Amino acid sequence: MLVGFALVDLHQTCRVSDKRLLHSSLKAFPGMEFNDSSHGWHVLCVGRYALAERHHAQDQLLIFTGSRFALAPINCQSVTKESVMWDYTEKVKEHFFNPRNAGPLEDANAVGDVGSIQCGDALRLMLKVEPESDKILDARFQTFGCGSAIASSSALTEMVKGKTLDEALVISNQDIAAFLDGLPPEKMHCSVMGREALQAAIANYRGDAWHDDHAEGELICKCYAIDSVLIEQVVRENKLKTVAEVTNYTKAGGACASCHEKIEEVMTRVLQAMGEEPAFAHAERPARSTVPTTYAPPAATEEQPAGKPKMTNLQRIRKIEEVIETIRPMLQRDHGDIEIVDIIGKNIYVNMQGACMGCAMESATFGGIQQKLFEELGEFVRLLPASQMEMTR
Amino acid sequence: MKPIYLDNNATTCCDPVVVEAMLPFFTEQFGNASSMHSFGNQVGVAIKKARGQIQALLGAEQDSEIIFTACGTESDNTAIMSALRAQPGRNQIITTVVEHPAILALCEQLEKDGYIVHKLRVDKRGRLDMDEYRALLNDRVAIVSAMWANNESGTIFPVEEMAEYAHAMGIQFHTDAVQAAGKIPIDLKRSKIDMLSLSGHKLHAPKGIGVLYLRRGTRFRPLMRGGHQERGRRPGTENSPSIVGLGVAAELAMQNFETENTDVRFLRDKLEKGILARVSHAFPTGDLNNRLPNTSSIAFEYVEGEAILLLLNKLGIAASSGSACTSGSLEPSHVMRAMGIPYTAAHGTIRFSLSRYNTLEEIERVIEAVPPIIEQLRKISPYWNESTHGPAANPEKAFSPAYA
Repeated sequence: MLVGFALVDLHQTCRVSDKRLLHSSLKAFPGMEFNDSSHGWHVLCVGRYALAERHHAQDQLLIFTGSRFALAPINCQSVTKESVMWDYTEKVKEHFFNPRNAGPLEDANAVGDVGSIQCGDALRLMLKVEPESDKILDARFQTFGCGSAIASSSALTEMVKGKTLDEALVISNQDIAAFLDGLPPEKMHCSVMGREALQAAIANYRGDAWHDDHAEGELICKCYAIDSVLIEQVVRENKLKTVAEVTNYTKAGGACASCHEKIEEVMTRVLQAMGEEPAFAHAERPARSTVPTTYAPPAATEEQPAGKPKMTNLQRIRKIEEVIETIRPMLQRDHGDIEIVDIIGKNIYVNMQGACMGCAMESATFGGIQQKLFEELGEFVRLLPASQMEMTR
Repeated sequence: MKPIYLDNNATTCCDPVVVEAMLPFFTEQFGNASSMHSFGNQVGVAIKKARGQIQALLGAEQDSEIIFTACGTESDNTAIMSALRAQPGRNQIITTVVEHPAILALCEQLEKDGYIVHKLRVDKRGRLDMDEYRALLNDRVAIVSAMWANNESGTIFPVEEMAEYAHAMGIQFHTDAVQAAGKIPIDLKRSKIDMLSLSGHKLHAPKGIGVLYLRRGTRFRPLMRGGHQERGRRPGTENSPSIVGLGVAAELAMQNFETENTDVRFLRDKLEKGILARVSHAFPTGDLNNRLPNTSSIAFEYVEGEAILLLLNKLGIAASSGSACTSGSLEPSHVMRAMGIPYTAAHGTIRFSLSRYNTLEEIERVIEAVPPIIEQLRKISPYWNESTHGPAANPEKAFSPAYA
């Protein structure tokens, strides 16, 4: 199901596993064209992305264009009970109706238990590992859960068999979903549970402690699976005043919009505790919309907005640094970072570091930061990876 | 094989007689009931007839006490909001923890707006504590709203008795009778119930039509403002085809009242007994001696509801589940949790809700179909021990995940 898309630079990321997933997912969108050339629009990735990984994130579509990028949510279908219930691929149904490797594995030497009965999902993954080679000789599962939980477990056992532990650890939840030709957005957490069970089983075999870092808060945005803890955090740290800003930072509320009321409640609570008040507290001061709904070509926004005095070069550079500094803690939380390399005219060149490097969400992160820079500087700027400096000169 | 529909508490099929009665109101009888000319006049007559048919079903004193709305949810919202607006000095609401979201979600919002909401708890069988209820009644309460019968477990609340207590304290009483209408006897003129909600599609009328019963003399404020339709209590041009359809459905419901309480009840009991005799570690939920004749809610331990529904669906059997997975939330049904059903069973609760269209042959097919499905899922459940054909020893502890 299409939940949202981002327009990003073609040259930034392209991962093989995502492409495979893309082709199967595109069948569901007959109106959407897949263009493999280096001109025009490109649909590049469908899947779940690292930025929101800890929060059971959802399917999304990243649409890449030749040389420009912008972040643009589109009109999205809201995810309803009716549409989700039986919206499984043939492969999911196949693995649910005829699960592979179900049942206990008597001589397992690696066992991973994840999930809980409270949540209605629990998975035990049992592996038989050959100690000499670290090779997984056999894998079985026991699952308490819905159709997609059982299918994901079945898929996982098929995927890991014959692999070494290190090879198995590379399997992401997107890979599990891809194996099943995709999962409905609300069921992506089933594939996450599969990956976690794998990590837990391997940790169990190696004698490591494995602990999960699930945030525990009320689920606010069901489309992107963002909980109240994350929203509170970004609102507090960045003094966000509008729902649109929260969407820019977390994606929460970027799809079906049914959680905007809840987001406002979280914001009001956090901001009031800080002695601040949200932009929507006064009806006569409407919340400004900061999310562009369409891609605006740079030329159209180059004018200096009226009312803002022009900054000197030094002021402008300091302002850019200031904005980047406010964003760094957010990236660091996801074990990434950003540094400014150079500022040439409207182009700001940066290096993404740590987990941000090669992260599939990099493009969306860029879009978000660029948006923040627009607002703070009051002018159009372009955020680019430093690797593109040569290309543009 | 012909599909078997056992999800009548979710919605029912439209009776062919109802559809037939409605059709002329899409074509030649298209007039606006408010118009002076003959096009409208005939529609007005048809609506009056339907109003009388609903009046008869509910045992209302007068037909003007019947207000047509768009659905049960609208009726529920209208009732509560009216009581609060008409009695500004009263800022409390009494309701129950097992109400439909049409009441609970509204009350949640009203709490944020500063109203005080008391939610009556239920015991393991889904029953209310009348002493707790009576102790809550005070002169700051604007309205009591309690459902007549629960949609998930079928448990019936003693709303007539509750209405007496509320009335004695001068408190308005509303009941959501969406599931009860047509299945249990309702005689409003002999009760102290002030308002009642009814929904067409639960009794073989179309979707998009509902009723709010409003006792004559009850202080009322409309939810919407507009034209004079429904005496200004529910403005908006009448949905005449659906109103006519609901009238016919109400009449059919009265004719089939006996069937619901004999034949349908027999099939429900046969289904429940048949399944429980063949499946271990399963139990019915709700107040078994005091529930809707068509509803059976069975908790299957150590398996998950959506998986059961998918396997049933493959065999052409439609039911519903209190499982979290079917709603996309993480918590299982609030009704099952309120009754203290443990998580190991709450997620595996399946509701079978019958109608007069179900047959003995269908029920026998379902009784045969369910046990292998539960067995199949238990085989792969970490909470189940296949060698002993029972739950894993100390099931809650046998599975100890790294996080919960």
